[in-house]
Amino acid sequence: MKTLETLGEVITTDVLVVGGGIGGLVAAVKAKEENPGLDVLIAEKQTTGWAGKATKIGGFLAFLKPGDDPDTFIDFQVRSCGFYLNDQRTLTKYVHHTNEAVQQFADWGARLAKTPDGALLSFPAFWAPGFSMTLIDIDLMRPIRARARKLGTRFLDKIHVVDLLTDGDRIAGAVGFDIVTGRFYILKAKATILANGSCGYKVRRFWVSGTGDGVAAAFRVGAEMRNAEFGNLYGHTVFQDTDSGMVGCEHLVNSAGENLKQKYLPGAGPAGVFLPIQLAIGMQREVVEGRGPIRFAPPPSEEVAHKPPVELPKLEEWMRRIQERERQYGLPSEAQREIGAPLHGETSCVKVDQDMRTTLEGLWAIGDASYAGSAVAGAMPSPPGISPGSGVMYAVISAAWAGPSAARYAAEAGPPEVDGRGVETLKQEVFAPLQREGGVQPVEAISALQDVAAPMKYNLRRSKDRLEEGLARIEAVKERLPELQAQDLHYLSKCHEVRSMTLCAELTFRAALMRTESRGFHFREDYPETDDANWLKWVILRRAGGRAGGGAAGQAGDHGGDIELSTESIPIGEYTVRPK
Amino acid sequence: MTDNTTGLWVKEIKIDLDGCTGCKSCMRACFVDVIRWDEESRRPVVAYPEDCVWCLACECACPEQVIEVVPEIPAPLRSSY
Ligand SMILES: Cc1cc2nc3c(=O)[nH]c(=O)nc-3n(C[C@H](O)[C@H](O)[C@H](O)COP(=O)(O)OP(=O)(O)OC[C@H]3O[C@@H](n4cnc5c(N)ncnc54)[C@H](O)[C@@H]3O)c2cc1C
Ligand code: SF4
Ligand code: SF4
Repeated sequence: MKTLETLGEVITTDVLVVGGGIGGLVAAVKAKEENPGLDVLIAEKQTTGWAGKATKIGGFLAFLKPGDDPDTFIDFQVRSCGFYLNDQRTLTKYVHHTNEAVQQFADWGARLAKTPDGALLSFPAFWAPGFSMTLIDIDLMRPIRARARKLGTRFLDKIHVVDLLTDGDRIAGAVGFDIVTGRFYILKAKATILANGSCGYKVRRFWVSGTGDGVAAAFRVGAEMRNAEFGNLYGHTVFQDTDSGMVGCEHLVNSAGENLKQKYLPGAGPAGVFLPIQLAIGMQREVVEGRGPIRFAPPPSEEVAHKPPVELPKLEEWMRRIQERERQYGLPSEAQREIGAPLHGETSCVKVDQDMRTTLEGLWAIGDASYAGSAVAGAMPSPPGISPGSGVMYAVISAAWAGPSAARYAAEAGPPEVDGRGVETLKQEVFAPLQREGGVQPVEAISALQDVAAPMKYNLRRSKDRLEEGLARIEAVKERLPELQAQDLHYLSKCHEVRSMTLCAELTFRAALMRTESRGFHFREDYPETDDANWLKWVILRRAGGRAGGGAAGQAGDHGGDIELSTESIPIGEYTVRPK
Repeated sequence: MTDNTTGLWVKEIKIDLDGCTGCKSCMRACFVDVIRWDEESRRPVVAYPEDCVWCLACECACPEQVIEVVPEIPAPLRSSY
């Protein structure tokens, strides 16, 4: 048997953080602050503090300002957004942590919007009662990265983490490869925090980095998943033009000039910029029934975008550049823009408890990797979901819980044992696509996967027949994964991304098939009613037979194995908000 | 409206290497590995333009302002209906 050292670069750490986006950085800082003596390492696919989605944000942070009403907000969140699929204890803990999280940004030196007299600028959340919003600049990770470095966190950039290592029942770190040099890394860790985002299937422009690698790796070693059916967010956009700008829902019209909000949500209050599911389904219906294309037709008085009176120079510069580029190369301003509703996806189903512990010892999952799985949001996909300003907040708050929890565990735990034979198998699996001559190119597989994950007829306007048809197509993609071929290391990374995305799609479709009712973002045409009598339950998915053996996650050709589904009753009797 | 059949979001990423000081900011700023580093010339290389989504983070990060990303419009985003 080969020693680990002959297989690759072995690095031993106390706390391994996978993903150096906003969540990963905060988790590292919090672990270090909890216990400065621990070694903390971030392994990031691109560059820590620059990568991920936090540099693409609209700047919104939603929080409970002193004087806001948490009970009203939680009641709204559970009844009108999460539809009782929330873990109300985690939600309550989260809500009460939000103000502290905003203060924390200020203490770290991130730039928040200010009023002319220097106080924090805030305004009522436009999408929920009892809650407030503020704005933060898009260079928010810079001071946190500096703080992490100052505390002694190690950064390992350009590392694609592929799989998790196991020591018996415990997670023992991860393996991955350097996407530039091709070096294989064996990262042995007492505690591992997954902070590597959700799965967006590379459909929308600013969401392309979300490929569900952490969700898939956790599933492959036997972690449970929850609320996976809510990996189906759709947002509407000027799709053929630039995929930018979410226009107001109020002014969507069909080819006959009918207003769709009035048609599908009569009497509803302001819908804002986020697409409610009834309207999304309505849009699809209009198009398939021949009344498309959908266009955006605001009254002339509302055409000029409202610019908030704040000074966030990086955000403003970025938006100015994007708008200038659109003006320069986009369609002429008098052109009628067609509105599409592409998939964001955002499968984020790693099941976690109130400290962000997964169901496996030694493994935590935070931020976009566990937004749905924590059940903080309930029956809706991860941010923006329909709760704008909650993505960054959930990432930093879940990190603030996971970091110290993982640090306390690592301080007590012994060093894990990692079996060389398992690692050797994993290494072969990691590099196999480079060895193949000919075969399936990752871009072909991505395209085939998008053809089933993205269409509304499969993933939004669901039915048994269509979900089964979709699953058959996902199976067809899955069958060809062992033929993936990579022309170089960049494309090798893509091969593993496709592997993750395929598994995420399957998790979403299987969970959706099991839930025989409609609730939140899950709409079943064959079960259009919400069924509280039978479905105040979470759908739980795990790998059939638990984890793969052999001291490491995979065997050759391991694409997740079979999925075992079950349900877990929601302890609604113990919660404060219950169906009336 | 004509469809985008190239599947690409971007026509071209121009870096004026005469004005570049080799600070690596653009490479760090890219969230999808489009820009790589040439160790010999100590200058950035547009290695994978096919993955660029014109997020413009590299442009914003460049202290010398020598990068220009030219988008491909219409976008390759497929309708989801
Ligand atoms: C266009 C846009 C606008 C948004 N606007 C807002 C807003 O206004 N307000 C708000 O609160 N939220 C907003 N969000 C959501 C918010 O950005 C995310 O919820 C948040 O960034 C999640 O943080 P994260 O650290 O969990 O994940 P990410 O930011 O996705 O970071 C994950 C990191 O893991 C890395 N990674 C992935 N796979 C691997 C791997 N296999 N190995 C190693 N590293 C890996 C990635 O490169 C990345 O750096 C927006 C998102 C987008 C895309
Ligand atoms: S525009 Fe964005 S995606 Fe394209 S090269 Fe620059 S940083 Fe990368
Ligand atoms: S950011 Fe600008 S100056 Fe720096 S390496 Fe890139 S192109 Fe050169």
